[in-house]
Amino acid sequence: MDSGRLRDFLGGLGHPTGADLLMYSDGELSGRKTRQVRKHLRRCWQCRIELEKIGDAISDFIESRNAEASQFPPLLGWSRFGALLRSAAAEQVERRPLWNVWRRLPRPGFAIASAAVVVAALWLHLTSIAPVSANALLSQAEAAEINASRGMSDPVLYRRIEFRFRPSPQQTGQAGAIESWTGLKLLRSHQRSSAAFWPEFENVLRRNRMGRHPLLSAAAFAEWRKSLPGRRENVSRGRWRDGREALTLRTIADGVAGPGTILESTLMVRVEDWRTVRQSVRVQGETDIREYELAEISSMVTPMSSLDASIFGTPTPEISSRPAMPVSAPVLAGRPENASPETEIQALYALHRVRACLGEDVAITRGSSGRVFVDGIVQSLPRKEELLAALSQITALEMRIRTFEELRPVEVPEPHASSGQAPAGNPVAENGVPPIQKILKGRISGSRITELSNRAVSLSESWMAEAWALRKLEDGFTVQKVDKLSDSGRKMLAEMVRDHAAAIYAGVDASQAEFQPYVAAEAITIQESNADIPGWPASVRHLFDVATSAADLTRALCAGSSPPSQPAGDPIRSLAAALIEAQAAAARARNAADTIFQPVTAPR
Amino acid sequence: MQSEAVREIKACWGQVACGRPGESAELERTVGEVFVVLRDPIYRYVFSTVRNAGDAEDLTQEAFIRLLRDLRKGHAIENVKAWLFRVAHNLVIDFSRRSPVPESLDAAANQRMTEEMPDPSPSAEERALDWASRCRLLRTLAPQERRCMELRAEGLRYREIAEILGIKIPTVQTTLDRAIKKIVEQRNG
Repeated sequence: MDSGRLRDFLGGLGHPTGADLLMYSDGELSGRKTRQVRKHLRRCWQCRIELEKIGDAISDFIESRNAEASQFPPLLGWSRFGALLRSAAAEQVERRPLWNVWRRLPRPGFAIASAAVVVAALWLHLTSIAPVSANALLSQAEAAEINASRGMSDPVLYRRIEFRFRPSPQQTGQAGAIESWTGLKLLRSHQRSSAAFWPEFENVLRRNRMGRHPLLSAAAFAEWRKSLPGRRENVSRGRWRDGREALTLRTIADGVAGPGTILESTLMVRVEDWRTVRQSVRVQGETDIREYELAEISSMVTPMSSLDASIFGTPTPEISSRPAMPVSAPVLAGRPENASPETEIQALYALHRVRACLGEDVAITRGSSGRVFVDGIVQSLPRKEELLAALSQITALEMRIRTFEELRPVEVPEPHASSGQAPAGNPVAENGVPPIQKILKGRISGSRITELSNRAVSLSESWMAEAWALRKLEDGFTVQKVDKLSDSGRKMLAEMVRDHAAAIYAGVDASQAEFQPYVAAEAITIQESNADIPGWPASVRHLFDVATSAADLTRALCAGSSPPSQPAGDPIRSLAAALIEAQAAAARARNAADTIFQPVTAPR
Repeated sequence: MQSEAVREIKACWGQVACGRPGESAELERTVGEVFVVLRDPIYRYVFSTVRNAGDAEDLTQEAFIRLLRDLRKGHAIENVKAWLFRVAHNLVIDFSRRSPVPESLDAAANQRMTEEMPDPSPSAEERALDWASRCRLLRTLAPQERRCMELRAEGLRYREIAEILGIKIPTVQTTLDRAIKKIVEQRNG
């Protein structure tokens, strides 16, 4: 805007300034000034154009920041917020009225009351802890389970649990052991036990809404407790077997009956760290009451990267040589030849926009009549509403999305639990200390090395989630199928491919920046044999391969896992080269999305 | 929906002040509903500064937890949205002092993205800007300009933006004007 336009326009002699026009469009001018500007705009083309430019600039900014935000969604999708909120709600609130009464006491009264409070506090401290309500106890214990995950990118709680079973009060008990792995951030769990009565107990847990949560957890107990039509309960003090103070919540279920129903359960929580250490369960059998007891023997928190990737589930069957897919992306199944792919691409795109393609149990399937279904189990009601809203504009779509809460106990799937089946890996790092600890020892502090490792592994997991989603798109849309898509459908597909490729690029780039200071100064050269890969499917497959390779090397370097093939030489340098290659592949895949618009020349 | 949530917060605050039983559970539920409405705007604002999804997620959640705590203490909150942005802004400032913004996700990442990932797609004509120009556009803005634009984009009035950022209203006006001019210049090449 030229200097002449900066003159005051109040007399109607000049043009409004740019700031005035912006304030006018924002509704921030006073009524008088607003009328003046409106009047001026009616007669001045130049200022109308200036106003349009402001609108265009705002529009550009909004689109740019939205695009940026969509590239970096929340890592955990807000899954922890509910527990954080419950924990905060369970905190003690400062009672101001009591304090005001205190301050109004006369001086002698104040002194006596102060002395009484000190004595009372000392007595309370020396004798015992104050009992808490059942809700507060469970909230504290749930918060402790969440807090255990802090400071590690994807921590896993490993526990050995003593498992006792008594078929009836008259019979002798049996004993066994359970090993349990719980992903503390991504809410995954896996248990195994050689005890003969373990499968039966698993069924009991599933039937009574305890199966969705880790064994011996406050979250599982709380979910069962919440499902009861009525209950009686009390909290008592006691001591854990190591002598430390503990609180025990005993809940007796009212209004429940039938074989397999939990009639009563107790949960013991250690006060020092609010860790659940023992749980007993009394279950209605055919004729007798069956009793189970779980008691922690030992535990440790270890990064997920130190475990076998398949610990929480088996690798996807079609790519068995790949590391296990951490979460399921929306997949296409059924009989693609019977239905137009247009509805599916619209549904996939809608789910993509709300990031349901990365971390949720959502699948798109086709029925025999050609009808398209969206099936899913999501964490919460708000998330369900978000998905339903995203899909609401698509016709001929049947949605069957439920929350965990809405699932009946018997229906709750336990895809990751496998009784009696040994997991593929050892819960600790195969090689003991991860290589990065040795390589960087002396160059940076131990805590910085740990921080670097956690961040690198976390980034690799993020880009692999994107890579899997991209790979699923490539699997689901053959060239022939793409050929049946309308222009609009192709645009959606191209945008999804670009988005995932850009996210992989950004993740790999961030990882590269983390390691850059520790790479030798000489230039890293990469093999460019795949520089001219034609078409988006080949580019996507290549990107998946190199992204997987970079993730494998990251885990090998930072967590000590064994990569499929370990290149010789400096591991950080090898990783840096892999990251550069992955970056280049991501850039190519993103650009290759344009080939989705090209006519089909030959079947794939 | 948003105004309903805000009204409900105010109503619940009244209950806290009266000390009615069950207040905690109701506040927890209401803050949960406010979270669903405002988490994305707050997240976007936080992310624009901290440049890390995990940190932005933690800080966003912390802002809402502080809302619950403040309401439970009986503090009056007239404008929940502006209050949340102010708390988020303070959290971001504290965080930035402790952990400088990583270069990798800021200028360097955008720079490389710009250089290596041009978008020659024919469909780009449907977008207002391609990826590279979007990065350039956002990089053009100074931190304060970006914050003002972010807050204005979330529908906050100049007075509210001034309160959140701790600056004067005329400063908000000039900052926004300057930011818009930069974007217009960027568009004109």
